[in-house]
Amino acid sequence: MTKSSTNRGLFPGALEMMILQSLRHRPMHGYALVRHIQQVSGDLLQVEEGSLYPALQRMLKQGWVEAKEGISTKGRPTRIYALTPAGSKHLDAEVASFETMFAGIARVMAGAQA
Amino acid sequence: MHWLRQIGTRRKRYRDLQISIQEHLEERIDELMQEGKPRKEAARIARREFGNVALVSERSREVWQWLKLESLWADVRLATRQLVRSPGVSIITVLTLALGIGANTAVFTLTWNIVVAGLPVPHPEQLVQYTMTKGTTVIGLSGPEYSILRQRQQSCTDLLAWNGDRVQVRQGSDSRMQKIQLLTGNAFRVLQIQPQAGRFFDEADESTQGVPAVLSDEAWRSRFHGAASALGQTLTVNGHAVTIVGVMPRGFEGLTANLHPVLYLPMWFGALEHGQRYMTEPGILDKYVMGRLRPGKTLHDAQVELQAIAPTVRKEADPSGIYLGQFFKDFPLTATTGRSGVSWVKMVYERPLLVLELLMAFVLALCCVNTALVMLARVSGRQSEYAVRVALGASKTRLVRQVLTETVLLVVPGLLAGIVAGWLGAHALVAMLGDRGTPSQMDLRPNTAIIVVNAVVALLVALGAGLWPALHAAGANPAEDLKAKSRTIAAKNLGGWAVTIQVAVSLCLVTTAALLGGTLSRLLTGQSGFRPQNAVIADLQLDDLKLKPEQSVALTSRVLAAVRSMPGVQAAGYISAAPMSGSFGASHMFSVDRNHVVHSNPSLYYVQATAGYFDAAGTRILTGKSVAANAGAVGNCAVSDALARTFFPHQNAVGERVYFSTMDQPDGTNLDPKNACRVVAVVDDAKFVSLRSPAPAMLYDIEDPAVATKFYDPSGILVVRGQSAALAAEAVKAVVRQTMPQGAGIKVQTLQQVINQDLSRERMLVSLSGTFALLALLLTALGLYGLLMRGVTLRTRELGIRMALGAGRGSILLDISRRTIAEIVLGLACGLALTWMTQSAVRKLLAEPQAGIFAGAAVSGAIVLLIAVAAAVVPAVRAMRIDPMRALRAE
Repeated sequence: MTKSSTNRGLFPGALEMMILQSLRHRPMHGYALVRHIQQVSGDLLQVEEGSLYPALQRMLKQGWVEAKEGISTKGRPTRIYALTPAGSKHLDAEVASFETMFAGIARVMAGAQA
Repeated sequence: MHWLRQIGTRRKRYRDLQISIQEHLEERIDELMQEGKPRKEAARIARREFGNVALVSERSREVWQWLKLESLWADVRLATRQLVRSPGVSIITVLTLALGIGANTAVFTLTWNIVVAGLPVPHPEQLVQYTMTKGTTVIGLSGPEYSILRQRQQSCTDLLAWNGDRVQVRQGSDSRMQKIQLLTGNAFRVLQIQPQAGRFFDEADESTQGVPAVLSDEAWRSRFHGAASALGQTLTVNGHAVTIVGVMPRGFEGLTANLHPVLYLPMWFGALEHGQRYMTEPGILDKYVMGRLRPGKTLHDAQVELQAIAPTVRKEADPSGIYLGQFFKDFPLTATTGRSGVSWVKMVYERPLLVLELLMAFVLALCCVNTALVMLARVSGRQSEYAVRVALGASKTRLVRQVLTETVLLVVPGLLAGIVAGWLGAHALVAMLGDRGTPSQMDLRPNTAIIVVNAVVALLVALGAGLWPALHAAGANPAEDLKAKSRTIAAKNLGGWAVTIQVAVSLCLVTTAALLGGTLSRLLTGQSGFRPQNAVIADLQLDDLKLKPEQSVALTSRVLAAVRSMPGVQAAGYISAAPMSGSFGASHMFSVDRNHVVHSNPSLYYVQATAGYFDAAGTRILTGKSVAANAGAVGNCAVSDALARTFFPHQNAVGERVYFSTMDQPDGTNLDPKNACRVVAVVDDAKFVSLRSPAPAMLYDIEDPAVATKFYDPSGILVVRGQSAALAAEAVKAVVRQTMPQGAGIKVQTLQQVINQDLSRERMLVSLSGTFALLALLLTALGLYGLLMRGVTLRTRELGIRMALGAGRGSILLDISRRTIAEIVLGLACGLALTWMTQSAVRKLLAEPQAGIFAGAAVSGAIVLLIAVAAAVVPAVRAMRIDPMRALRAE
């Protein structure tokens, strides 16, 4: 039952940020999201389903994403998640603060090495 | 309205979620199948990778929920279903709780009203009361004592004094006897109360014309319909005109509890009534004194200060020393809390109520244990349900909450029913207090304190009862419990040590009830100096007839002669004070024995009686033959045995004289035959004040209304002995109809009823503790029965196997009951210790002599054992009748 949790070390909000970034690329359904993140990260990151779906619901509630009825490639009914303008704005803010933080961390790490 | 829309779209959200997850799995399955896996295996892998679908859905749905509230609602629904499934057990549990909480409400309502609630004034806890107290006898202070104490003391801001009286109040043509209270002018300032209309009187009113009066709220509403026009009206009190100047605040019913005075008059009205000496005479000890502590001072400070200044106060207030140094030397000045004012009900019932509260705690503990047992039985029956829930990802706190919710669902109806039952119970209890001291007028309004205390108690019960089974449930171990192989162990662990607690508490309650019952029966059967059978007491209520003294004498004379001549009447006589009324009239008298030694008794009970009284009441005449009044200069009297022995030691009292102490003269100085009576008989000691108090030293002044002396004061209390109590009562009523004026009231009671009223405190204790004991036995029996039955049911299969393998019925019985027997034995041992502690506390509270508990505990132990055995019979028989074949097949 235990599953290696690769996103355990991520900072809060990282999962949301990655999901939003993925959806900015194009709207997609849940499984595609998992695949997308896995592929883009070069298999470094694997999103746990146990975290993905609650996170999606939270973002739906916040109004950052919306769920549209759609049909999968195999013709089955599914739900496609898409970024909303509010979600886009939130992502920009998150990315900006992430970059600031990342730059800060990078400097500290560089300083520590010197 | 955002949240409203959310609820509306929630169903759609859940469906979207479900479709999303479904598609997620399908996509993965497709992918795996493309890799060449067969569909079945692909589906298995997809599911394993995804994890717990139910849990993920649950977590996702939670985003849209008010989590706490909704899961609570789910808990409540599940709990309700569970409770409805076994209605019998649920109802019994609710009833048990209702009984426990109801009894608690009733007792606490009384305790609150009698013991805890203070006077309706700001900060009643700051009030200190000064009295002269000897044991349970409380008397007031004299005018000089009050004023000197008021000057000398520093602990209180000021001292007020009050006194009660019964007077004739006339309003227009309407005239009746009413209770009033006299207050010093500073009283309202000390009490810090405000009039609800008009003004209060104060010291300045003393120098103005007329007597100001303050109406009670009750009288203002009933007599004047709460109209402002009442102010300025004039009433006549014992012939003196008084003017209404104000109305007391609502809820204030005087400084003497349950007295309900109609009118409050200034203290100096007493001087108008009784003469100028009323406030200055050192021998009139009828003023109750109260003060309000200065900020920072405590009751203890006041007591220490009083100790220091009391000798000076006594000396200055009574320079001759006759009263405070001689007659009342055994009555020390005492300072006690004044938060309830003077309350006879409190004095009599405070300790019994504390005893009841103590027993109540035990009963509640039992209810708690019993509810816990019921819950435990439910929980242990659902072990596999909990295991499944834990396996599905339920947290332990969730299980604890579930069980607690179920317990609360049992407790809440119990609490509601209990409060209603307690309400009715409290009124029944007030009726039980008897009508002495008019507690029937006691105010029993519901108040927040009572409800809050009960709710807290109920919550504690719920928590106490629910926590143990809840933790038991939370201990669910899916791997083990789902195998369901540990039923024997489960059965053996069932109930923890509940039986021990039940047996211990039952033993304690039964023994305590037996102790209280023993006290009552001793009081009822002991030597009282009366023969209650076939005797009645009639109160002719002469006060209400407004007769002139000589008319009263003539009337009582006619009634007595007529009653004596009635068929079936054996004896009849008047007595000036009702026997066993609980009140005590202290008089000062002395004797000079043949060795010229003066024997003085400052607190003997002086009553007037007619010759037939002794036969009627059943008080035996020990020496002396003809008891009759003497119209001559020296009256005749009878003395009680105790008085004869102290007044005339080693000599015959008959023929000797007893002298009345005269004002301002020490005993022994004035041997005036006009102030004396001649002893014509020595009579048996009678418990004249109360059956629970020792018989007082008594002097019966023998009078005869037919040859009335100037001392004769017709009281109208007639004691009649007949062939039966009913005949005697009938005779009195018939005579009253014939001889008394129209509209005369009469109250006839059998002597036995008077005794029952006198012992209402003991009877209340006995009936309540007896009920508690019965309840405890019932709960123990139910608990034991349920526990054993459950154990046998759980172990049917195991016992079946053992029987099939040849185990004897005896060994099965022993095995089934071994643990229970151990618990009962331990319970009895713990119960003995608990009983010992409780009994010491109860005896101390009720001032009973300490005594061994073993005889009582042995009998009670036998009763508890008997009940335990009775409860165990059915489960034991069932265990022994297990048919191995059927038991093995049943699983």
